[in-house]
Amino acid sequence: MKTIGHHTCSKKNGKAFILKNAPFLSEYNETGKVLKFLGTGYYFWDDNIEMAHNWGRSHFHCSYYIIECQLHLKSNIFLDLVGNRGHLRYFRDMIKLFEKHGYKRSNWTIGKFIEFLKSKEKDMPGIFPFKAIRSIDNSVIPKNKNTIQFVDNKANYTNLDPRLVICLIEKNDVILQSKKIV
Amino acid sequence: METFEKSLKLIDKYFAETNRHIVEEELSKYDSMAIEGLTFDEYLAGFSEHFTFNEFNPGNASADFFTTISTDNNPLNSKIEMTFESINDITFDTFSSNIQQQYTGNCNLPEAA
Repeated sequence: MKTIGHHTCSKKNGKAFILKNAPFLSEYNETGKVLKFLGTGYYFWDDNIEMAHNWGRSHFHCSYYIIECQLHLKSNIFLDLVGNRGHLRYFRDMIKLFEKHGYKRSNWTIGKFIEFLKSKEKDMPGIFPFKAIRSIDNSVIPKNKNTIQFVDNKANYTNLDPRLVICLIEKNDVILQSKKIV
Repeated sequence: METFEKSLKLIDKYFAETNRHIVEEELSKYDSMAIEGLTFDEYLAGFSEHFTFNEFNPGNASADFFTTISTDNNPLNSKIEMTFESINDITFDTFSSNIQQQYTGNCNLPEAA
Protein backbone atom coordinates (compact mmCIF):
# COMPACT_ATOMS: atom_id res chain seq x y z
CA MET A 1 0.00 0.00 0.00
CA LYS A 2 1.18 3.50 -0.75
CA THR A 3 0.09 6.51 1.21
CA ILE A 4 1.21 9.95 2.29
CA GLY A 5 2.43 10.41 5.85
CA HIS A 6 2.54 13.72 7.72
CA HIS A 7 5.09 14.03 10.49
CA THR A 8 5.37 17.08 12.73
CA CYS A 9 8.63 18.16 14.33
CA SER A 10 10.17 21.15 16.08
CA LYS A 11 11.68 23.93 14.00
CA LYS A 12 14.57 24.41 16.37
CA ASN A 13 17.32 22.70 14.34
CA GLY A 14 16.53 24.36 11.03
CA LYS A 15 15.25 23.22 7.67
CA ALA A 16 18.40 21.50 6.40
CA PHE A 17 18.76 19.40 9.53
CA ILE A 18 15.09 18.49 9.49
CA LEU A 19 15.09 17.47 5.84
CA LYS A 20 18.16 15.33 6.32
CA ASN A 21 17.12 13.62 9.56
CA ALA A 22 13.33 13.54 9.69
CA PRO A 23 11.29 11.68 10.63
CA PHE A 24 12.39 11.61 14.26
CA LEU A 25 12.07 8.71 16.62
CA SER A 26 9.51 8.79 19.41
CA GLU A 27 10.75 6.37 21.98
CA TYR A 28 10.07 5.00 25.39
CA ASN A 29 10.91 7.49 28.08
CA GLU A 30 12.61 5.51 30.83
CA THR A 31 12.43 8.35 33.36
CA GLY A 32 8.76 9.03 32.96
CA LYS A 33 7.93 5.39 32.13
CA VAL A 34 6.07 6.69 29.14
CA LEU A 35 5.49 4.69 25.99
CA LYS A 36 3.91 6.00 22.79
CA PHE A 37 0.59 4.76 21.44
CA LEU A 38 2.03 2.06 19.19
CA GLY A 39 5.40 1.82 20.92
CA THR A 40 8.73 3.26 19.89
CA GLY A 41 8.81 4.38 16.29
CA TYR A 42 8.56 7.12 13.70
CA TYR A 43 5.04 8.50 13.82
CA PHE A 44 2.93 9.85 10.99
CA TRP A 45 -0.62 10.95 10.50
CA ASP A 46 -1.95 8.99 7.55
CA ASP A 47 -2.57 11.66 4.91
CA ASN A 48 -3.80 14.17 7.44
CA ILE A 49 -2.07 17.52 7.32
CA GLU A 50 -4.77 19.06 9.51
CA MET A 51 -3.88 16.79 12.43
CA ALA A 52 -0.19 17.42 11.78
CA HIS A 53 -0.85 21.14 12.21
CA ASN A 54 -2.88 20.51 15.35
CA TRP A 55 -0.03 18.53 16.79
CA GLY A 56 2.43 21.30 15.94
CA ARG A 57 0.26 23.94 17.57
CA SER A 58 -0.26 21.96 20.74
CA HIS A 59 3.22 20.45 21.15
CA PHE A 60 5.57 22.95 19.57
CA HIS A 61 3.79 26.22 20.28
CA CYS A 62 3.39 26.92 16.59
CA SER A 63 7.13 26.57 15.91
CA TYR A 64 7.09 23.43 13.83
CA TYR A 65 7.61 21.91 10.42
CA ILE A 66 5.50 19.29 8.77
CA ILE A 67 7.31 16.67 6.75
CA GLU A 68 5.31 15.00 4.02
CA CYS A 69 6.55 11.55 3.03
CA GLN A 70 5.53 9.00 0.46
CA LEU A 71 5.24 5.75 2.36
CA HIS A 72 5.42 2.38 0.68
CA LEU A 73 4.03 -0.18 3.10
CA LYS A 74 4.65 -3.64 1.68
CA SER A 75 2.21 -6.31 2.75
CA ASN A 76 4.75 -8.61 4.40
CA ILE A 77 5.96 -5.94 6.82
CA PHE A 78 2.76 -3.96 7.28
CA LEU A 79 0.35 -4.59 10.13
CA ASP A 80 -2.83 -2.75 9.21
CA LEU A 81 -5.09 -2.45 12.23
CA VAL A 82 -7.48 -0.21 10.31
CA GLY A 83 -8.55 -1.70 7.02
CA ASN A 84 -7.67 -5.36 7.14
CA ARG A 85 -9.85 -7.65 9.23
CA GLY A 86 -7.33 -10.46 8.89
CA HIS A 87 -4.71 -8.30 10.56
CA LEU A 88 -7.13 -7.28 13.28
CA ARG A 89 -8.01 -10.93 13.89
CA TYR A 90 -4.31 -11.74 14.12
CA PHE A 91 -3.89 -9.15 16.85
CA ARG A 92 -6.86 -10.52 18.80
CA ASP A 93 -5.55 -14.07 18.44
CA MET A 94 -2.13 -12.93 19.60
CA ILE A 95 -3.65 -11.46 22.78
CA LYS A 96 -5.57 -14.70 23.34
CA LEU A 97 -2.30 -16.63 23.32
CA PHE A 98 -1.19 -14.72 26.41
CA GLU A 99 -4.35 -15.85 28.13
CA LYS A 100 -4.10 -19.42 26.85
CA HIS A 101 -0.72 -19.81 28.52
CA GLY A 102 -1.78 -18.17 31.76
CA TYR A 103 -0.26 -14.76 31.13
CA LYS A 104 -3.45 -12.79 30.69
CA ARG A 105 -2.77 -9.07 30.34
CA SER A 106 -6.23 -7.58 29.99
CA ASN A 107 -5.02 -4.18 31.17
CA TRP A 108 -2.18 -3.91 28.68
CA THR A 109 -2.34 -1.27 26.01
CA ILE A 110 -1.65 -2.02 22.38
CA GLY A 111 1.80 -0.47 22.65
CA LYS A 112 2.82 -2.90 25.38
CA PHE A 113 1.98 -5.95 23.30
CA ILE A 114 3.86 -4.49 20.36
CA GLU A 115 6.95 -3.62 22.39
CA PHE A 116 7.02 -7.02 24.06
CA LEU A 117 6.84 -8.86 20.75
CA LYS A 118 9.43 -6.57 19.17
CA SER A 119 11.80 -7.49 21.99
CA LYS A 120 11.51 -11.17 20.99
CA GLU A 121 12.08 -10.67 17.26
CA LYS A 122 15.88 -10.78 17.51
CA ASP A 123 15.91 -14.22 19.15
CA MET A 124 12.89 -15.58 17.30
CA PRO A 125 12.84 -14.08 13.77
CA GLY A 126 9.32 -13.94 12.48
CA ILE A 127 7.62 -13.58 15.85
CA PHE A 128 6.87 -9.94 15.05
CA PRO A 129 8.35 -9.09 11.63
CA PHE A 130 6.38 -5.90 11.05
CA LYS A 131 8.10 -2.63 10.24
CA ALA A 132 5.01 -0.47 9.95
CA ILE A 133 1.77 -0.45 11.91
CA ARG A 134 -1.35 1.55 11.15
CA SER A 135 -4.11 2.13 13.65
CA ILE A 136 -7.15 4.31 14.15
CA ASP A 137 -7.98 6.30 17.22
CA ASN A 138 -11.72 6.39 17.80
CA SER A 139 -11.58 8.07 21.20
CA VAL A 140 -13.38 11.22 20.22
CA ILE A 141 -15.49 11.62 17.12
CA PRO A 142 -17.48 14.82 16.70
CA LYS A 143 -20.80 13.75 15.34
CA ASN A 144 -21.48 16.95 13.50
CA LYS A 145 -18.27 17.24 11.52
CA ASN A 146 -17.19 15.02 8.66
CA THR A 147 -19.67 12.33 9.48
CA ILE A 148 -22.47 11.23 7.22
CA GLN A 149 -25.64 9.27 7.81
CA PHE A 150 -26.20 5.88 6.22
CA VAL A 151 -29.97 6.04 6.44
CA ASP A 152 -32.43 8.87 6.95
CA ASN A 153 -33.83 9.19 10.47
CA LYS A 154 -31.55 6.52 11.92
CA ALA A 155 -28.48 6.84 14.04
CA ASN A 156 -26.17 4.88 11.76
CA TYR A 157 -23.37 6.99 10.39
CA THR A 158 -19.78 6.81 9.27
CA ASN A 159 -16.82 9.09 9.81
CA LEU A 160 -15.26 10.58 6.70
CA ASP A 161 -12.28 11.99 8.57
CA PRO A 162 -10.87 9.27 10.84
CA ARG A 163 -7.59 9.84 12.63
CA LEU A 164 -5.22 7.23 11.35
CA VAL A 165 -1.77 6.88 12.85
CA ILE A 166 1.14 5.11 11.20
CA CYS A 167 4.14 4.02 13.23
CA LEU A 168 7.28 2.97 11.38
CA ILE A 169 9.40 0.67 13.49
CA GLU A 170 12.36 1.42 11.28
CA LYS A 171 12.96 3.95 8.55
CA ASN A 172 14.59 2.97 5.31
CA ASP A 173 14.48 3.98 1.66
CA VAL A 174 12.08 1.22 0.75
CA ILE A 175 9.40 2.46 3.12
CA LEU A 176 10.22 6.17 2.98
CA GLN A 177 10.29 6.98 -0.70
CA SER A 178 10.37 10.76 -0.57
CA LYS A 179 10.12 13.59 1.88
CA LYS A 180 9.60 17.31 1.77
CA ILE A 181 8.65 20.11 4.09
CA VAL A 182 5.14 21.35 3.40
CA MET B 1 -1.33 -14.76 5.72
CA GLU B 2 1.77 -16.90 6.15
CA THR B 3 3.52 -14.10 8.03
CA PHE B 4 0.71 -13.94 10.54
CA GLU B 5 0.38 -17.67 11.04
CA LYS B 6 4.12 -17.98 11.58
CA SER B 7 4.03 -15.14 14.10
CA LEU B 8 1.24 -16.80 16.09
CA LYS B 9 3.02 -20.16 16.06
CA LEU B 10 6.22 -18.59 17.32
CA ILE B 11 4.42 -16.73 20.10
CA ASP B 12 2.70 -19.97 21.10
CA LYS B 13 6.06 -21.77 21.05
CA TYR B 14 7.74 -19.06 23.11
CA PHE B 15 5.13 -19.27 25.87
CA ALA B 16 5.06 -23.07 25.79
CA GLU B 17 8.81 -23.59 25.91
CA THR B 18 10.06 -20.75 28.10
CA ASN B 19 10.38 -21.09 31.84
CA ARG B 20 7.42 -19.50 33.54
CA HIS B 21 9.57 -17.47 35.89
CA ILE B 22 11.45 -15.94 32.94
CA VAL B 23 8.28 -15.06 31.06
CA GLU B 24 6.72 -13.41 34.11
CA GLU B 25 9.88 -11.43 34.71
CA GLU B 26 9.91 -10.20 31.12
CA LEU B 27 6.22 -9.33 31.14
CA SER B 28 6.57 -7.43 34.40
CA LYS B 29 8.82 -4.89 32.69
CA TYR B 30 5.91 -3.91 30.49
CA ASP B 31 3.38 -3.98 33.31
CA SER B 32 4.97 -0.88 34.80
CA MET B 33 5.04 1.16 31.61
CA ALA B 34 2.63 4.00 30.99
CA ILE B 35 1.40 5.09 27.60
CA GLU B 36 1.49 8.58 26.22
CA GLY B 37 -0.68 9.68 23.37
CA LEU B 38 -2.99 12.37 22.17
CA THR B 39 -4.80 14.25 24.87
CA PHE B 40 -8.38 15.40 24.66
CA ASP B 41 -7.47 19.00 23.96
CA GLU B 42 -5.25 17.94 21.08
CA TYR B 43 -8.17 16.24 19.42
CA LEU B 44 -10.44 19.14 20.06
CA ALA B 45 -7.93 21.68 18.78
CA GLY B 46 -8.90 20.69 15.29
CA PHE B 47 -12.56 21.44 15.67
CA SER B 48 -13.40 25.05 15.08
CA GLU B 49 -17.13 24.79 15.33
CA HIS B 50 -18.89 25.61 18.58
CA PHE B 51 -20.61 22.64 20.04
CA THR B 52 -21.15 21.04 23.39
CA PHE B 53 -19.81 17.75 24.58
CA ASN B 54 -23.24 16.21 24.17
CA GLU B 55 -22.79 16.40 20.45
CA PHE B 56 -19.96 13.90 20.54
CA ASN B 57 -20.47 10.30 19.66
CA PRO B 58 -22.25 8.79 22.65
CA GLY B 59 -20.49 5.52 21.92
CA ASN B 60 -17.28 7.02 23.23
CA ALA B 61 -18.05 7.30 26.89
CA SER B 62 -16.09 9.61 29.11
CA ALA B 63 -14.78 6.66 31.08
CA ASP B 64 -13.11 5.31 27.96
CA PHE B 65 -11.49 8.63 27.29
CA PHE B 66 -10.14 9.02 30.80
CA THR B 67 -8.81 5.51 30.71
CA THR B 68 -6.84 6.55 27.66
CA ILE B 69 -5.22 9.59 29.17
CA SER B 70 -5.03 8.63 32.81
CA THR B 71 -1.61 7.59 34.02
CA ASP B 72 0.05 7.80 37.37
CA ASN B 73 2.32 10.41 35.87
CA ASN B 74 -0.43 12.78 34.90
CA PRO B 75 -0.92 15.35 37.66
CA LEU B 76 -3.96 16.71 35.89
CA ASN B 77 -6.26 13.75 36.23
CA SER B 78 -8.24 15.09 39.14
CA LYS B 79 -8.57 18.53 37.57
CA ILE B 80 -9.70 17.09 34.26
CA GLU B 81 -12.21 14.83 35.93
CA MET B 82 -13.56 17.70 37.98
CA THR B 83 -13.89 19.77 34.84
CA PHE B 84 -15.62 16.94 33.11
CA GLU B 85 -18.25 16.56 35.80
CA SER B 86 -19.68 19.92 34.84
CA ILE B 87 -19.16 19.53 31.14
CA ASN B 88 -22.85 19.59 30.32
CA ASP B 89 -23.14 23.07 31.76
CA ILE B 90 -20.40 24.75 29.79
CA THR B 91 -19.60 25.29 26.16
CA PHE B 92 -17.01 23.35 24.28
CA ASP B 93 -14.80 26.40 23.92
CA THR B 94 -14.69 26.98 27.66
CA PHE B 95 -13.88 23.36 28.31
CA SER B 96 -11.16 23.24 25.69
CA SER B 97 -9.59 26.44 26.96
CA ASN B 98 -9.52 25.21 30.56
CA ILE B 99 -7.90 21.96 29.64
CA GLN B 100 -5.40 23.64 27.35
CA GLN B 101 -4.27 26.03 30.08
CA GLN B 102 -3.96 23.30 32.67
CA TYR B 103 -2.21 20.85 30.44
CA THR B 104 0.33 22.97 28.62
CA GLY B 105 1.70 24.24 31.90
CA ASN B 106 2.57 20.76 33.08
CA CYS B 107 3.52 18.52 30.19
CA ASN B 108 6.92 17.71 28.79
CA LEU B 109 7.01 18.34 25.09
CA PRO B 110 8.14 15.36 23.06
CA GLU B 111 10.61 15.78 20.21
CA ALA B 112 8.34 14.67 17.46
CA ALA B 113 5.16 12.92 16.64
